[in-house]
Amino acid sequence: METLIFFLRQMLNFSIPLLIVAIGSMYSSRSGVVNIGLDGIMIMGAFTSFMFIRFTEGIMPPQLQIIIAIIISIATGLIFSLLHAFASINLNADQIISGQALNMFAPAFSVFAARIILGDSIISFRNFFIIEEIPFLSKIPFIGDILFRDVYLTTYLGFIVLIVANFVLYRTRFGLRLRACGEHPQAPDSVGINVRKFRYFGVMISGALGGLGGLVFVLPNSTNFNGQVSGYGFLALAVMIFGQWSPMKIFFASMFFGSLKTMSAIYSGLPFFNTLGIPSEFYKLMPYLITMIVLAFGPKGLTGPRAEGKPFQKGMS
Amino acid sequence: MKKLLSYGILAILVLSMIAGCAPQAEEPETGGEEPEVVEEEKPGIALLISAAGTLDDRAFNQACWEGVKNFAADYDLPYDYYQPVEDTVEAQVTIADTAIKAGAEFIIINSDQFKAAAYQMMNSHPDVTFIIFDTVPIDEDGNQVLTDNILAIQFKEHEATFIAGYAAVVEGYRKLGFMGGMPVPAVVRFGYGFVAGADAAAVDLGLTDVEMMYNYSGDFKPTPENQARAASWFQSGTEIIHVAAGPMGASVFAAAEQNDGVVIGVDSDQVNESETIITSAIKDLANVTYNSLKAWQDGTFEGGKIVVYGAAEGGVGLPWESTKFENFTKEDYDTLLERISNDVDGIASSIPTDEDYEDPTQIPLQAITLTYVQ
Repeated sequence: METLIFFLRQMLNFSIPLLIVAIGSMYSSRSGVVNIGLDGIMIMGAFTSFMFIRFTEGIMPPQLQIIIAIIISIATGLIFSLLHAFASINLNADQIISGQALNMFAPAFSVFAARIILGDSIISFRNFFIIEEIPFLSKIPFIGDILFRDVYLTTYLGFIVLIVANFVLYRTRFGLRLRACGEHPQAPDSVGINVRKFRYFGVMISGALGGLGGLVFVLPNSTNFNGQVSGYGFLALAVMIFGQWSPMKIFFASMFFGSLKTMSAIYSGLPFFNTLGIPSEFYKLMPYLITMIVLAFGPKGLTGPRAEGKPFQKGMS
Repeated sequence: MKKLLSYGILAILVLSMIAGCAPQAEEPETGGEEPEVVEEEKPGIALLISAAGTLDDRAFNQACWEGVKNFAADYDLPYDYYQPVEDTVEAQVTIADTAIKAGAEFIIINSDQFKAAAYQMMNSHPDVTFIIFDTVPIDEDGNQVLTDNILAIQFKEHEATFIAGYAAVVEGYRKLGFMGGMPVPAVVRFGYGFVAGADAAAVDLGLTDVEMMYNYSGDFKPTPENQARAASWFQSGTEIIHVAAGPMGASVFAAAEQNDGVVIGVDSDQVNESETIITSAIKDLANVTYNSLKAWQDGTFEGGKIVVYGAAEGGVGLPWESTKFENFTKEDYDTLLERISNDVDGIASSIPTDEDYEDPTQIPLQAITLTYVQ
């Protein structure tokens, strides 16, 4: 039982950032713009928010600090993603190239700027952000131990993002229009909807969530930020595709990826699995192997929004 | 119009890249266009680090850089660091050529990834002085070769971790762990020494219940995987982990903070990185770098050989001022250091190194149980 709780707690470290970033990229894809720049956006979001945390250490209470850091990471991601939006929506540029430009720019900028500001390319921080216990809720058996004890505020953001995304996409006029722009932009255009505006919204939301994902990714896993997120932005794209561009499926996909990743990392600490003598490569391979199997033999619905990646120019079809 | 705009942006990007790539000018920029203003330039110092590493890694690159910076400040010489785009021989040789073109006359190669490239560098630049840490250059056939302009410096990392492992058991820890990055020689030496030290202490104290987990993560990065692995070890009873993996240490520190674990750091004194760090197994790269540079400036530099720094030379050990042991006292430390330095009862020469065994399970252990997680 204790092992299971530990497993699920560790799993959230993997799954929550994947969930947030994958949902972000879903917004962008649904509006018709591929955003492979999420890795870079995560780095930028982590960079500014940890810079803030570093400079306000000890000045303000940790939980207030983390709330402001969250806002900063969102704002950074949003602004940074505008570059991608401008290139791919206004200039009709190749979306893969402009996304990749963000990925190449961000780690270099992070190291460069940190060295100028701090004289050190790594941003160290003291981690005071764990909430030891949430009264009452932590008393709930099992769930209390997983979700309401020794948690970070950022963990809950994943669930909020999920619920909001599910609502916005399927229950609001905005969501309907966003989806239309990604499926068949000529249709909303013909009824006077500004496709470019909606694509901007899609990319900006993905940028905001990408930046947030960077903060959420680094916080529980390190004591410093060194200008990289280990390719989790790309992994989030895989999660989104695996989750078929729909929030609830993305949620399960991220939990699935997270659990396999967790397994590959922690099996050595679990006596049972350690005695099985299966080499670690097997566990490390599992997430990718299963992804390939599912993509190859899975349901036919595994095609993205139809107009994804195609620039929209008014009057052309 | 759009085309014009995009060309304009492109031009700005390219120009700013060129400006950004230009080597940081250490002396006032006189006649920027002329690349050949070398006549009165002072000899430069360049540090080469591997593509996989980072300069501020809180470990060996940073320690080496400290040495370079201190020396350059004392002697007022230009210095810079260079990192190849990837760890291939071509990229490494190119970056060395770049450094030399920028005026470097002393090059410090701080990575064992460079052993094949170093062979080419030392032969094609006989007038440049090199030192290389942790490895020896090899030729095309894999033979170790040294020319007069290169000095290979190695450390007895296993002596530092022998003390750390010994101290951890004396301190009262019974379940230990070692987490290495990639199994490169220096990391392996850290690991084997730690195992041997814990074993020796268990024998001396007559303990039979000491256990050791042992793993190479395969990278040097702070990732959720490495955090989760460390967390799972702490969760399953491991009390103290020695991490020898540069930047990856941050993940182990984070895991220790969340699971009430204790960590032994590596390379430099890492006590400021986390409250959980009880001590660090250090190799004194900063001073060794400084002294090599000094020998070069004084004209006493001697290349063409391998120098090994151990406890006897003051090259490795624990930073006692910041060490938080309670049961393992300063006297214990000094006695052990003394015994290793003088190799009393063959204590130092019996510590296994990377050349002795291929994997840690082959180390003959007398008292502790080792679990090698592959």
